[in-house]
Amino acid sequence: MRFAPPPAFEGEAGYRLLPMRFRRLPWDENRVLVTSLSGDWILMSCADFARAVDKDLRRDEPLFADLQARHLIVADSATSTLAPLLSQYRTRKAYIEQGPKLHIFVVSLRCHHTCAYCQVSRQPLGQSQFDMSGEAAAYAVERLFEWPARELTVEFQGGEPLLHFERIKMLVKAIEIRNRHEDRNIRFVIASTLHDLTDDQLSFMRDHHFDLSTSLDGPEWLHNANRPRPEKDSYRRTLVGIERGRKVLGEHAVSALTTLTRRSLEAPLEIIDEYRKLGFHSISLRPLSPYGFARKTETRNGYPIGDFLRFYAVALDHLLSVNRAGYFMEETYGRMLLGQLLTPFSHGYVDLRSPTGAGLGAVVYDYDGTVYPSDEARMLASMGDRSFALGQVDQPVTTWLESPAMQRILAAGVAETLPTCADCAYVPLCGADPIDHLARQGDTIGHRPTSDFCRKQMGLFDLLLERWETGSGSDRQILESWAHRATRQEAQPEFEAA
Amino acid sequence: MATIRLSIDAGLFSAEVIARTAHRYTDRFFVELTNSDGAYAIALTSKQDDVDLTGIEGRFRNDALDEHLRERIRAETTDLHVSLVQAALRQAAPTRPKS
Repeated sequence: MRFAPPPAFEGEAGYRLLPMRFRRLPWDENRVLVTSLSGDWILMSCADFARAVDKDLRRDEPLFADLQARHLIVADSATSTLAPLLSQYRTRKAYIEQGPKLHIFVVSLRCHHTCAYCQVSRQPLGQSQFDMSGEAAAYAVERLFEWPARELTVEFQGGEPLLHFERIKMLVKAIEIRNRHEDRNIRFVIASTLHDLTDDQLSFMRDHHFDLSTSLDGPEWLHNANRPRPEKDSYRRTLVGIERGRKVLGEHAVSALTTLTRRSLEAPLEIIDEYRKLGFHSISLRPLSPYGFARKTETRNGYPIGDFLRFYAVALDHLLSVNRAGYFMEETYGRMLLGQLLTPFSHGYVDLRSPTGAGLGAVVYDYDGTVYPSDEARMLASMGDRSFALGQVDQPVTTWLESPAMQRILAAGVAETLPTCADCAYVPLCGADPIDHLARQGDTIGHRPTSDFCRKQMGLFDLLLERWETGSGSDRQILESWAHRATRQEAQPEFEAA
Repeated sequence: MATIRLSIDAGLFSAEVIARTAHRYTDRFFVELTNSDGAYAIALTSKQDDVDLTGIEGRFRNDALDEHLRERIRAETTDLHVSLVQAALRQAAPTRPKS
């Protein structure tokens, strides 16, 4: 038997472009980031990119193979399959297949703090009318099991949820009884200041495998300034709560998040060093959101998103130096974005989804029985705008999905169809946030050139990609280790802190 | 407020390319677009006094070239893009829990 000569296997001459987007690199305007439909990408010179679009590439040059491997071009549509590209796309969007995994139960709005940036519109300690009733809680359990997800995260929030712990106990027991025949994998989380945590509460949490999420804004002076209590001892109480939680539930069961006020932006190194001192291997550096008391105090505590990005760049460099010194520590949002950039997998973070995670990735059961598609929608409602309420907890899930609120969210909830996003090289890795745009810009679609959400996303993607490309070999390894941790935590939605 | 005026040959770029390019400048500028005598006239008026106008005209012209490239890619790939997304998500129907 004789094989035909090599030209017989080459197929049709030329090649076809596949869907792609590009962006000039801010740190090197002569090169571009080019992304595929599914978010695979390559960095290349503008001249090479122009040749690729002009169909001037030769089949025997390495760039041709690179672009084909990343599904940016296809050599011969008669003999090539696009099945791997479809598979990649489905993998990237796997979060849409099972509906909401994150279910937030707001058991009380009462709180003993008076934080100026509170996004929730907390209520005074004695106001028990802001507690979730037993009837609303029972309905919420029914609704929880109407969703199809096999993995469910049940998060208890407030106010301060520990102030209505009896309702948490009732909910956990009801969920576990129902789950005996539902057989879902359920994870319980409580977002709390951890102040006034009792031994009985900790025992209950240990018995039901709770994770704890708390807020720690940095060193004592900063935490106490951001989170005032009449006794001026918020930092000390938080540390006591963290230690007690770790002792009973285990080191890894307790995580902390940072909310950044204007004064926080002056202390990136101190904040990170505080987390290291306390033995945390993870930190979340979150800019303020425009909700609740945070909006009322915006002129005092707020800042332009450019200031946050400058803060983040300094913080990232310090985190890299901490890691180089042998102490593993990651930033959670950066981890999520790096996971998008450096792995092909889906993730559990509801703010980075397209279609949006609001109502499709998360549901909030408020204390009064009203249901919202996200915590931000609940916060908007507390400010008087209830237009994103999906319905009441005694209605079936299908009624919520057909609600005008959900239709409005979906109409602006696919990033790939939004003005400017549609052409953005980062859109396969990014998300849509119509509720945030309504809160900031008065419109669910929003205006990207002035969107803080867009500036933050683009700024962080650019920063992380630049550090990954231009950093030392060890920096690159550190960033890649964050990305792969994001992959391992894919099934677990990110949760909020108190 | 300072205004930058520039003219671009309408034979080289579509109106959509110029509009998409100009939209990116609406964070810092009020934008006016007109088309007459075979050329687009673009006026960018800064929204604030302290906007740095250095290099804006050259940047706009380069951005128009990038938008032109995007238009070419869209023209070749939009139909395929829609077909691929539909094919990929056809299997993404929600799974129902066991009754």
